[in-house]
Amino acid sequence: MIEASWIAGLGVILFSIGLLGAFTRKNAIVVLMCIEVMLNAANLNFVAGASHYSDVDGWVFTAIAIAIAAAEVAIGLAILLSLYSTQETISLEEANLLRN
Amino acid sequence: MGDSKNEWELLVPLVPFLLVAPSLKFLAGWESVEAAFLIVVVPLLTFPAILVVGQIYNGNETWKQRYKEGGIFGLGALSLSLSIAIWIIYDYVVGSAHFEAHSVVDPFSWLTFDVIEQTGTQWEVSTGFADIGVGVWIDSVTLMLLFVATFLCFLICWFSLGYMNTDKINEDSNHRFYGEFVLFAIGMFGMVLADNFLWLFIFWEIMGLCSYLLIGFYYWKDSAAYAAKKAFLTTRVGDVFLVVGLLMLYDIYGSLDFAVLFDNPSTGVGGAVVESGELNWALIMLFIGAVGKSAQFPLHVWLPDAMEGPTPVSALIHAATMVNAGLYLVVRMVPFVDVHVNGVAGLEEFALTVAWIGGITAFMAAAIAFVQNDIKKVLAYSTMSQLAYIFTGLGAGLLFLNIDEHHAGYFVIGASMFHLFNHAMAKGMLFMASGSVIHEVHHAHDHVRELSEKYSTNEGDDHGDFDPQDMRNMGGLAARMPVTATAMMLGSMSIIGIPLIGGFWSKEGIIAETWAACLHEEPLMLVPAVLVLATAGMTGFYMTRMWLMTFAGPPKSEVVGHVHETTPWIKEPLIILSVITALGGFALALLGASDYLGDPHHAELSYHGLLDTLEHAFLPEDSYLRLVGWTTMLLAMVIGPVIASRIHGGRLIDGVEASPLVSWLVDLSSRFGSQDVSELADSQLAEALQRRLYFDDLYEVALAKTAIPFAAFSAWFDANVIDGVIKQIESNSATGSVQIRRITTGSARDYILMAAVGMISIFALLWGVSN
Amino acid sequence: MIDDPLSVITLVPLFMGLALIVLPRFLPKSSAEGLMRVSRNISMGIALAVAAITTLLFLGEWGSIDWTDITQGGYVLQNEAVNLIPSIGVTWKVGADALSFPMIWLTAILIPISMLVEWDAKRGHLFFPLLLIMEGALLGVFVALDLFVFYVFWEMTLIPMFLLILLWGGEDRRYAAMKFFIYTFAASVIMLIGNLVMYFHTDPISGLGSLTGHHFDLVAMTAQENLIPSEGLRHLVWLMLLIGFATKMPSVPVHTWLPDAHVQAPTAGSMLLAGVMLKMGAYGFLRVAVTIFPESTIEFIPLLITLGMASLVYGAWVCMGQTNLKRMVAYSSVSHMGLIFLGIATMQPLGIAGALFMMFAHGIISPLLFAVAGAFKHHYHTLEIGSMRGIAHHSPWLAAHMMLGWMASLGLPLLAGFVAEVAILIAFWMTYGWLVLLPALTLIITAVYYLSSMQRTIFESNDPDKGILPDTMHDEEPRDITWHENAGMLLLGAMTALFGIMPFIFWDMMSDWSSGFTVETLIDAMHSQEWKP
Repeated sequence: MIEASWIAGLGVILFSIGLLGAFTRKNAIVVLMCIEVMLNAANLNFVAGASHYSDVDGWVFTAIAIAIAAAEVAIGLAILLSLYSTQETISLEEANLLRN
Repeated sequence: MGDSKNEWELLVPLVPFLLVAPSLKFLAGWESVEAAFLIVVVPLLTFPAILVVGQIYNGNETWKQRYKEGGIFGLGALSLSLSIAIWIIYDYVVGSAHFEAHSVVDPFSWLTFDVIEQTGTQWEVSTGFADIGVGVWIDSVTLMLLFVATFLCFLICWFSLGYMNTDKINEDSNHRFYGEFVLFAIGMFGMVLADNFLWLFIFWEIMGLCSYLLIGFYYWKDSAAYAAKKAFLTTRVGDVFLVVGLLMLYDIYGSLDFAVLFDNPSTGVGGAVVESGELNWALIMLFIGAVGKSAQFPLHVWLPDAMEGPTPVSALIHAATMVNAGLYLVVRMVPFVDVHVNGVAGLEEFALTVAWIGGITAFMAAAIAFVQNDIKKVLAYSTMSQLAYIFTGLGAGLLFLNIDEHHAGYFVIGASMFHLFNHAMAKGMLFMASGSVIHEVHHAHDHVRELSEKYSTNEGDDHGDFDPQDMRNMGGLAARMPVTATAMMLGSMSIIGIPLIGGFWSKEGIIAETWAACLHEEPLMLVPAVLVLATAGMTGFYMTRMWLMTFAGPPKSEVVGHVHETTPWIKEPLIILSVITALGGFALALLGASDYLGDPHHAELSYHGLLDTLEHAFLPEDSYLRLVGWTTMLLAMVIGPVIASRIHGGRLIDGVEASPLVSWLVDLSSRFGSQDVSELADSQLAEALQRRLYFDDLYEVALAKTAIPFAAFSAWFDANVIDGVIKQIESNSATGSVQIRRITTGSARDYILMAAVGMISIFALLWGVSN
Repeated sequence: MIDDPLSVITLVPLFMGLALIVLPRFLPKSSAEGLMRVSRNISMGIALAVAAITTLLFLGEWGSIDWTDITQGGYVLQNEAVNLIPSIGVTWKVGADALSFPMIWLTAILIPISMLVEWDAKRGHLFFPLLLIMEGALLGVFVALDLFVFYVFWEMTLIPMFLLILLWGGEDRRYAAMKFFIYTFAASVIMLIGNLVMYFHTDPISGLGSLTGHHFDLVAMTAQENLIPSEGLRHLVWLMLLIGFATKMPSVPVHTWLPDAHVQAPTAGSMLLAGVMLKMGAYGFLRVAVTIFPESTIEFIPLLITLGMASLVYGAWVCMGQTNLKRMVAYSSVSHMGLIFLGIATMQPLGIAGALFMMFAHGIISPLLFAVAGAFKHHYHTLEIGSMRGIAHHSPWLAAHMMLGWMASLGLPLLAGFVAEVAILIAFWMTYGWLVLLPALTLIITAVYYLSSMQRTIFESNDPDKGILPDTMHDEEPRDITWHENAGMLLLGAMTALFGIMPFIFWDMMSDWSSGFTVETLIDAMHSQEWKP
């Protein structure tokens, strides 16, 4: 049996990869992907918990999280499209109209 | 001259005012004292009426001709006050029903309050402190001053009807004059009748306000506005100290009522014994106020400048009434020092201060009068000098009373008050006479200018510089202005102290007693005594000089030939006062006025006997005093006038004659030869005297160098240092917020980073806390 | 008859003012002229009604009140407290006593007079309703007996004044309005902290404060013995209250908002600011700080004397160095308000009564001075003292009013300010001796700056027929003041003379209150602190 802690550990690794990616990368789509990675890492955590405690609530949380992640990506991509139509690029470095 | 019938017609509105007093007495049965408040209240109602109606009807011909722009109403109100005053005096002096030394109408409570004081360690409400009320106080001094004030206010208002209303420059402003004049009268009458020190001070300040308004009557003139401000501020300095004195008196006695204070000055609040130390300070503070108001050294600088006001103002305020306020205040201090009747001992220092200031001022003012060419300025310095005489006399009196020599003390206090009376009458008349001279010379000059413009083709002389007040433009006026010349002669004689005329009876008393004080009691009185003696001679000189320069000798300018004495309303006051000056002093001395005025506890007018009085004046018992008396008379009557005659005297030119009343004087003045003093006139001493011994300059420079820069510095300090702190906070907040704003870089990555860091810290905190 | 007149006179102007402001939304498009006239007339009507009600209250016709017979801590015209926010203990409780009533009357009289002075000034339809709101807020401060309500009205007064300065002020109005608002607001917030500390120390009253167990009732707070037991905390709270009240009065060193606010404000705004708003500070200080914490007051008497002296003397010197007429009058206000601290510091009923009378007298004289200054600005377009000479030729009525106002302010007897000054000086001498010379000598400086400004503006043109006009006139004909300005100034002048000649009209009740206050509140504190002057 794979230990729950290892799954959670994998979740932590994935989360940090996603976090670092979120505030390092310039490409907005990559940032979105990193956010997805973070969400999935959280899901892994839920799965680990559900598996360890044999509780179906964990699986429910996971399902909800996946659904929400999907909705959020849709919104995110819509915002990106809007951003692109304004500034012709999806580099986050250029998106500083709210500066100061 | 054909207007004289018209003059009397204009006085018809006075009749209702004059009928008030008799109807109150005979129809309503009032006591005279009950009507005393009307003396103040009726003018109080009149003055706003004059101002408002005058402003509304400004320019209206009837208002100007028939009502003299409010002068008739002012005169009416003042005649009412005069009639009630005479009624009161009659009741007190002649009537037998009110023969107490003073009378008080029930005071009505004006300000009620509590005071707490500490007994031991406990604080509780004190019962010793009285409320402040309003009431009427009458004693012999009040009566004398009331008469002087009401009578002179009336006469000078009469005089103004002629003087002010016939001068083009006053047209349409006279309502302002009469309104302020009546307001001043309110102040004077109120002060004299007040029954406590606070109300005395309130009316004192009202007079100061009117002095300011009236000196600055010609307000567009730089010099007049400046003089008004100078007068107000100088007297304000004195007034501030007066207020401090009042505070001290209230604290010592728990009341400011005359009835309480004069009754038992050695007992204070709650029966405590009054220390001479604290009372000394209180009296000195009050005296500083008197010094300011009566223009004594060192607060004398405002009086000469005050001559910028129209002549009636100078006559009334700066000769006859307001400057007497300081003297009145000092007289009210007599009960405090009178050891014979409950006074506080140990106040000799205070008395000496009064006498010294008096002596110094008398001498200094007389010296400066030597070099004045403006007729009004000579009179101003003469006023300063004579008032100083009275202060010296009061100082000697206070000294005597404090060392239990009450006979001598009462005598000299009485003599001083009597001199106040004589001086007020004489000086008021002198100023009015000088006004008459100035007025007529001014008209004559206008006439001359008209003629020269009519008959000559060129521009003519420069007329802008002609000063109608400068005596160097006069001379020989005795022939052209008989009434004025006589009046001025009698007035000058009174001031100099020629025997048997007015001022003599009182002046002798003062000088004699001052020397008596010096020789028998207190050597420190030597300085005032000597100064006062020297001043007598100097007075003789400068008054004679003034008269001779104006009336005797050949005319010094062509204008004199055109002078006529034609202005209506001016002659009557001069004539009345001439008679009073000539005979009144004599009559009152006969009746023992000095004693009546000096001793409030036994005030009685009684026939003294002519010989008694003369004996006291010419042949006192003490041989030293006899010497002093004769020296004074010699200096004042002989040496001073003779020297003046040598310099300025001389016959009138051929073809003109003066009236017999004065021609003897003119002739006499030419018999002493002549002397040229032009070298002396250019000397440094003369220069210093011209600059008024540099005191005015000293004060001005001191103020300009200290007060003004300090004020400017304070303004700068406030705007830049105190407000600077605020402005600094402002700018720091602005820069601070700019700095903080730099965190918002606008970059999404930075925001994600901040969010992440924030979340991690919160988790760490929670994890740490829960452990 | 109305049961609760105080609530009426507070709330009616407030709500009517608000109504008049929003009224244009609901009316058909009418001309701006007509709208202004309607709002102006209605506002004046309401203001006059309030003034009439207040005068009737004073004359005792309303419920036969004897104003000199109110026991200490008692209030007349007190209403039945209405619970506003019961969960935290806020009630609508109003009442008046001899401390607040003169201020109430003063406010009620000043509003119509200031409206009168600005009658023809073409200010638009918002001006007069704002003055009404101001009236409601000011009255609310003086009648409130609940600390929360007091604070709300205190802050509420800032808003109309801010708008008055911002919309109708001079060139630098933005700066002045912001400075005024933020400065006094910051100080009030500090005062709020003090208020809240007091709140949390109150003993519970049944029916109030269901959530917190405390209440804001000022009457109960006063009656509670020893509100804050800890002495250090008590002193701290007193100091916080002092900061708030001293900034309002204003006292040196927190006074610098006043000159800017005054110079830029329109005439009616200045009149109300100087006449009533400044007195709120003194009133609040007495009502809240001194009454509830007398021991702290006595502890900090040296501080009070320092602040008072600084305001009085420093204010006078700075005043002397001013060249702008309104700034000069503003600093003279600072100077006179310093006397109030000195009066309170004497710890004598006479001195405290003098301080109260000074509040009242200054509240009549100062609006007169500002009306005069406003008229100068209006007719000569400048306030610089040096720029004109001999104006008395062209504007005799204005010159006369200036003379009267200036003389009243420097303390001429028989005008309102004299009694106050003398009373405070007597009490000050009794307690502090020769230190009284400092305020006394300042009287000279007061005279100097007033006379100098008069000499330069209305006198001294060296021409008997006309004056020297300032450049800002640009060949315009000079004229005298309009009838409504004149009427307003005449009313104020008449009041000055009336209360100068007959001060006992209000003095009696003030003296009575001060005696009661000293005996019941201060003396115990003096004993416990073992205070010696």
